[in-house]
Amino acid sequence: MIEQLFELAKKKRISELEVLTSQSTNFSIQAYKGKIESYKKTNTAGLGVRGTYQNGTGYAYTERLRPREFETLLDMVKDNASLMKEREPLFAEKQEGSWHDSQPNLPEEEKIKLALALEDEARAAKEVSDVSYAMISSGEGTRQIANTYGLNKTYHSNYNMAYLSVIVKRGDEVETDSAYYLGDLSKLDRTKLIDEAVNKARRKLGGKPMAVGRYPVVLDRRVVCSLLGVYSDVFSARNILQGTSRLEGQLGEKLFGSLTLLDDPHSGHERILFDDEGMDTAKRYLVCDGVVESYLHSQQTAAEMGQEPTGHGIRSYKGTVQIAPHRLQIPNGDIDLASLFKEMYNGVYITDVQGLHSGTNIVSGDFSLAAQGFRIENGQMTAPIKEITIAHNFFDLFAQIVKKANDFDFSMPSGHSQYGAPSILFSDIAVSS
Amino acid sequence: MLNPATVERVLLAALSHGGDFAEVFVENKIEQNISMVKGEVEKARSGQDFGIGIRIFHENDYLYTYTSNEDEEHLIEIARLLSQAAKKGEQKNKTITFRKQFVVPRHLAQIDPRVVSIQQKRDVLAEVNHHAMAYHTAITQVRARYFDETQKVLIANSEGTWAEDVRVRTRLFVEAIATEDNQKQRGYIAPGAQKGFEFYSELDLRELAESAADTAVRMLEAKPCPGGKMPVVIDNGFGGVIFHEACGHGMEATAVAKGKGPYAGKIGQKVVSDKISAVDDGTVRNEWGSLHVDDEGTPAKRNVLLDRGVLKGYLIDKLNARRMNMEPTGSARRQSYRFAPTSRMTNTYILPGSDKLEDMIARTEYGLYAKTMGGGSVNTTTGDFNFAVLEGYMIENGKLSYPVKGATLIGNGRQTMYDVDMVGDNFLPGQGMCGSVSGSIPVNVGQPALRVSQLTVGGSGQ
Repeated sequence: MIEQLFELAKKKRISELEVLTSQSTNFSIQAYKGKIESYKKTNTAGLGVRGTYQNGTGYAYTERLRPREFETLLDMVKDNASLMKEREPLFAEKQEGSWHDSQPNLPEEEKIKLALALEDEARAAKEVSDVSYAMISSGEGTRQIANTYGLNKTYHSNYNMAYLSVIVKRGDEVETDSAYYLGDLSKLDRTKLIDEAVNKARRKLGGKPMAVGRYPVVLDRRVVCSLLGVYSDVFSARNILQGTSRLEGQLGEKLFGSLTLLDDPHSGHERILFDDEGMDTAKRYLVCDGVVESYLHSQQTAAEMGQEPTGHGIRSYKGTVQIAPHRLQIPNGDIDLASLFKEMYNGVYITDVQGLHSGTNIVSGDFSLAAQGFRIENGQMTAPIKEITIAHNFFDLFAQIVKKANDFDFSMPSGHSQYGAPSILFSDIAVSS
Repeated sequence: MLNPATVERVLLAALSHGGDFAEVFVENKIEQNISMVKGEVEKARSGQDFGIGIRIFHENDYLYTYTSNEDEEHLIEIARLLSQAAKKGEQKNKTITFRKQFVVPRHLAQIDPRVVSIQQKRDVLAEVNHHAMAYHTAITQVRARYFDETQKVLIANSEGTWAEDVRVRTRLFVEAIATEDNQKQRGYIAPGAQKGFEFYSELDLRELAESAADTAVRMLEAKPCPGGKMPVVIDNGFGGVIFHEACGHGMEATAVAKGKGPYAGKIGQKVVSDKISAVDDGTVRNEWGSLHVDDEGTPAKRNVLLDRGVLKGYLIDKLNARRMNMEPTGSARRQSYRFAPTSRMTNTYILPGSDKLEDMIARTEYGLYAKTMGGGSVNTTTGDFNFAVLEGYMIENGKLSYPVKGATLIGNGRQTMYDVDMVGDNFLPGQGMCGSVSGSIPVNVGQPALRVSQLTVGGSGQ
């Protein structure tokens, strides 16, 4: 199929062509009140192309993988390319390879039993009034990237996941929380998963607002990961070039106090061996001991800025090349969370934030987010707090890390990137309610 | 699209081993995206989405499968496998006779975007870029994006429904960034409609570009917003996002059927301020959130949700209609064939009242005027919400005093809608994308200006 496309492109005077294909199958079930409420089996396939025509680059995709659609597909490429003044350079290396990562899978009946048991046991847990999601999902997929320079790489992998979201109730008050497990489902510890979701929800019950002011703060690792998820964009060379990142011209500058931030593509829930332009990935420090060391590049931004590409060109077959980290992380600290609270002595511990897509300004770094958490009084976690907002500036906040806990973990994967961090003590944050 | 004989065989296979209702959804969608930064086209892409979703109900549960492979043998095979996973049962249907669903066309495109040259589409972006840049010397960057899609759908089910719809949607995104010293602020506007390219001859591109630029420039002078509880005047248009998030989601059967959220079991009861009447209306001509038929083939309707504070109805899809023992309301929607449909909003509007915006401000001694809202989110279980204010001003002694930045509104949807004490006469809709269980779908929000007597404002100012 790919050879056919290359042939046709030549005939249409498309001078270079890149083809990205993706095929996957997924199975997911949700249990509710002792029954399988939702049962899904899916097959997806898509093909995206990027080609150069008269020195401009155009994109097109189709989910109808039939040779007779290819004509239209390549005409779309030409049409789109005609608007572009510059071409996007492709990864022009003759590299080939095929990789396969697999983890043990369970038969369908076992997964159904597991989902039912998870829901049943979660429903029986203390103060649980309903189970929003008791879900088992698994899938496998193949991704292939090839271009007319002889690049041709394929990666095949599978995953298994359990996800639980519960509602707890005390009097008229309700709270929710969730937990997930990724990996071999035969090794899933259901009790641990249920305890995690239920305890996180229960401890929030009885939350009250607190007095407006500035407080020392510990941000839970989930919150740190959420902030990294939003603000990793400031490292994108695309934003630097467009003048929408404050890190423009800041390579080598010590902006971030003691922060170390790195991207390790071979860690996290699944290895990323090459990016969606076909370039091999490698571990890379973005910030080392506060100093900005590197931006994230695609082939195009690296060429524009005269820097080395970093293998961060990300796209789906439908989309255009974007820049994103693979497994962005802040290394672990060395004291446990309880000791971190003692270190802070008085302040707040923020466990949940909402409104990340609206309450954050990437350009200025300012954020203001609805939050929940706990008071820390005399080094101890005491009353839950809710209906507050926390406000600060990303650049200023991460320049004032006081200490890190040793509870490093990755956030639940969503999309391409995954983020990892420990809980962190910062000198202060503005709280309003 | 598939022919009736194939669809019938697939539906029968879907009921061959179990299940009491089967549905086929076929989607073929062509879309075009062009983005421009600083006057140059940054990316141009187009493509075709294609796939078939098959859904089975057995009693109150459902099974779903989808594929992009349209071969009849493959479709029958996946339908049969799905049926086997449903409860064992006898095949009841032997044949299906389809009845074509006829709906008066209301949302047709006048100019099919597929016959408009890509250069003309680019020129729309060039024009808004020009006007936004020329508006003020502080504007340092303009990003604009052109979008159109033509989504053809076929919905057929074992009850004999055969419905087809063509949905042509057009949208323009404009973002202006103003810079001063080390500070950058943004202004944003993104109108859309269920229209073709004629949308652009009806739109004042200059006014649009200037309004985005104006927000960005004004926010350069803004001070950090003071936090605390205060009265808030939320202006019309996209301000309706609060009602959408804080109340609308709670009226979707997805929540109500499980007894969740503040509105389950409350029909006929007063649930918000008696100043508020609201509808979800999928029939508004050519609107961004409108439909001829929903994604289950039910004709779109105007559903009254609230009448002077009293809860009148919910938004219900077929599966939840079974669970709730109520009728579907033409509200079943999905992003694409990759999602099973469920109850969602279309154009969700708070109806206009009689108060004047000037009076709302004049009668507020100290508070916030939220002129333009950004996005937000809500926890549908608790009703707690949070929203960013894109352009806001403090009100002091009944007058607008200074612009503020970094403001968020947080509260509980149920309580906030009780606390609305004035409803304006200046209704305006706004366009958005709503993300939920069945994916991201185009919706309109809309309201006149509202005054909330007390709301928590988050901000870092003093």
